[in-house]
Amino acid sequence: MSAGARERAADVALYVYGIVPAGALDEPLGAGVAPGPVTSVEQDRLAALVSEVPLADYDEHALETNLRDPHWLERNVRAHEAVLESVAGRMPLVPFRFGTIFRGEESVRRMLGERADLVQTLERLADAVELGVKGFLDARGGHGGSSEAAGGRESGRAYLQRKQAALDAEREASALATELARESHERLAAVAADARANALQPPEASPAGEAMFLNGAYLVVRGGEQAFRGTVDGLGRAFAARGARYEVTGPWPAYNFVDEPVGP
Amino acid sequence: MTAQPPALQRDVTLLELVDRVLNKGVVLTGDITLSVADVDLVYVGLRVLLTSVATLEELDREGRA
Repeated sequence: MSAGARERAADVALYVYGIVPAGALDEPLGAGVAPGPVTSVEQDRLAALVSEVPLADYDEHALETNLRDPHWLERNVRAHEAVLESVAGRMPLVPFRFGTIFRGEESVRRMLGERADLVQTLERLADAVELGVKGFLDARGGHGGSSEAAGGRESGRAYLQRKQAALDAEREASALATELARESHERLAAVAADARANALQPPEASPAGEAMFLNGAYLVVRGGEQAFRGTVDGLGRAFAARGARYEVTGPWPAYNFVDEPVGP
Repeated sequence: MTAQPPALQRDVTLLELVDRVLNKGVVLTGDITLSVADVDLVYVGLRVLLTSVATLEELDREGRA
């Protein structure tokens, strides 16, 4: 069977984007992280989405350099995502993390043989998409505005009172954030097939510098997307008065759900 | 350094993407080992970059070599 296998030039390797069911990809996809088409390498019930990449850019040494170049990284991270998005709606898909590279088809097939468990992962993720939900608190929920003294001299006691008030406000905001996070995540998880609460992004990442209180990922069964978004809208209405705002992103390939759910 | 809202908006999307593509998904060791630690480091570094500088384009304007 290896007799028919194409001979690969010594200067190329295979970059793997993700896994789909064998037979699912009936024609090559457009270019990914390199100019060539994305094709599939199959073993039993699994197919890896791969494209040839030049070793000049992807051997250990080159990668080490390239990974430090934000422009190279941005371009290739976007290309990786674009390949996965181009199949996401059409077939079950297990996304890989960026940068999984093999020497040739034989080693890709060996990997597929060793990871037969991914058949179950494909089944679990079939007909589902990942949606991201981020929750932000506006300034009212955050620090209580300017805590500078009005001007001039301030007595020691006034200073302490002001410090105390600022501390109280901060503590209150943090309690509110915790409560909103728990409440929001619970309600969203209840209408999702699976849910993950991820580390929060820093305020600098939000356009208005708002404090993030929720950075969740939710696995939503196709067709249930509208109901899920309705739940997010409901949260927005319920907590707007307390300064909360929500943002939905996606649908994404199910990056956050490739591992078996772990108990609480 | 002050961030510019329209540029930053685009960055937030990139951050969201980077949070997934470099930090999630199936991790396995290929033939060419991009070690997990390497990618983690790159991820953390890029995240800092994305959240501290308005955009990569801005880096360009500032005269990247």
